[in-house]
Amino acid sequence: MKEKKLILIIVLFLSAGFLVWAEGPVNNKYFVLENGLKVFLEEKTDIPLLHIGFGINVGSKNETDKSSGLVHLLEHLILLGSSTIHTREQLVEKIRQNGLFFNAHTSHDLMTFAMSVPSVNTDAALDLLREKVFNLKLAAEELEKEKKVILEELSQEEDDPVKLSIRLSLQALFKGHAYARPVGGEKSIIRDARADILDGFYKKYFVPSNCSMAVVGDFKVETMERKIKEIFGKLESAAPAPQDFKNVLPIGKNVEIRRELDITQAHLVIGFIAPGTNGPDKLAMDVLEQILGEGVNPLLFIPLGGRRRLAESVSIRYITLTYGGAFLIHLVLDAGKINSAKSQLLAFLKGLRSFKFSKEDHIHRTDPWITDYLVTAKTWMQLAYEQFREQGLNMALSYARYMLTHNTGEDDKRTYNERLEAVSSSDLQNAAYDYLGGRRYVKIVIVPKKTKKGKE
Amino acid sequence: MYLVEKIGQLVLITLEGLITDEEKKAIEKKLKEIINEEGNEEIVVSLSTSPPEANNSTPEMQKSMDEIIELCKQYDIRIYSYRC
Repeated sequence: MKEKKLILIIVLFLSAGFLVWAEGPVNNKYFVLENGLKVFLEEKTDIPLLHIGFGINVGSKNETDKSSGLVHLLEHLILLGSSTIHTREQLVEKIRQNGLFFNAHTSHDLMTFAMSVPSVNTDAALDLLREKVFNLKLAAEELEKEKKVILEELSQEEDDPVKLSIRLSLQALFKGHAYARPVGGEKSIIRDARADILDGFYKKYFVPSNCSMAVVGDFKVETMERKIKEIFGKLESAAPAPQDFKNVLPIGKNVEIRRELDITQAHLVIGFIAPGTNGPDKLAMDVLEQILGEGVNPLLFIPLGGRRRLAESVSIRYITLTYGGAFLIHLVLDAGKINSAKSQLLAFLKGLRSFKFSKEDHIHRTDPWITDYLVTAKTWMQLAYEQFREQGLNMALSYARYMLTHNTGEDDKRTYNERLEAVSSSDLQNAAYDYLGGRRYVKIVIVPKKTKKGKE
Repeated sequence: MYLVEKIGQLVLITLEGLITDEEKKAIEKKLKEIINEEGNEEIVVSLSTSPPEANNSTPEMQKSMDEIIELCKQYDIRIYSYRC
């Protein structure tokens, strides 16, 4: 078995959207089983708990227009359905008896399973995880039940301005790429889904060489390694599923999409193509996201707040995927202010290439009224990182994702804090110019439905 | 309704619906019993609701959870809720 000791490992915070190194030294180990399963173990003994992140390199990117949404449907069946060994009810009882937390998630890139368990029940948790992931029974009645659940989720998404605007933004930004297909999929395909088609996905992608597993918690690395080799080493080898994807390309022209919903305020999303998880400018974009849209006084309040109050709220969602990313600026506002807000926003973004993010950019840098946006953002991000690290399950999931999505071949040994510290004001100016200022964008407008005269 | 289970060094407390004063007293009694047993000096309480999303669904539920957290503080018991 291939084994490698890691003193430090890069961690990928997909949900939070930032890439970090774990601070060392910690007792950890990376190895690959003979069947290809990538494993990372890290001791964290402050709480008598064990956390497992399990990743499968399959997501909506692996679907076609005729199978859009089937990976997410498969996730529901694995999480909630029967295995070839136990019924759904027996598995639910095992989860309860062993004090397990068990959840799953599907994204454009990956399917992940998250598990936390009292450390005395380690063996039961590992057995259950292997059974759930690798021994799925596609029962017809469970399939029909989960189809209904997902169809309901999709209906709710259509009525939710935030979810709908994200879906429309990504479809427009990633047009022509596998990422354009929404994770939730299409209703017609979910309705017609058959067990044999799902089984095709399952057999192709649910092989150890297409998976990663990270365990963080109260155990000894040597003991856990032995257990994992015993329980997961028996799984049959198979060639990894092909993952032949190109990086997302910039969009050729501005796109505008308008929808009406039964809502009281309008929503405006301006979206740009941005670096993905492996992009060299990702950390600078993370800092920009923090400065522009987070904290007590987000910078975007300058063009959009003030006396004109062009927007009621501003938020940013920086979505980072393996082959590209999206930077979405979301405003909630009065419908009559959409055009003014858009113009102000785009002009402000264009000006960021010369914006003074740091005190060092000012001639009179000791003046007390100068705001150091860069230092403030870094402080918040370091705090968020420390909070993230306290949660063993976050760490396990990040490690599992990282093992499947890091594809640059580069091995940056700096810690997250060291890399963050190195981000300069000019890095932010350059990133803003390269990805936001004057670039092509998608504009999603969702306005309240017009009522007919005389009717409410 | 409530459920107190001890798994290794973890004490899992699950709350469901309205928790009466008698039930809160019973939880306190059970916790006292557990911490007085030998070898339980390092126990950790994990507090959750059934269903999980009920933890902030009503002010009564939040109040019950706050009271149990306060109880754990009194007895110097660590809390790490992982099933929510």
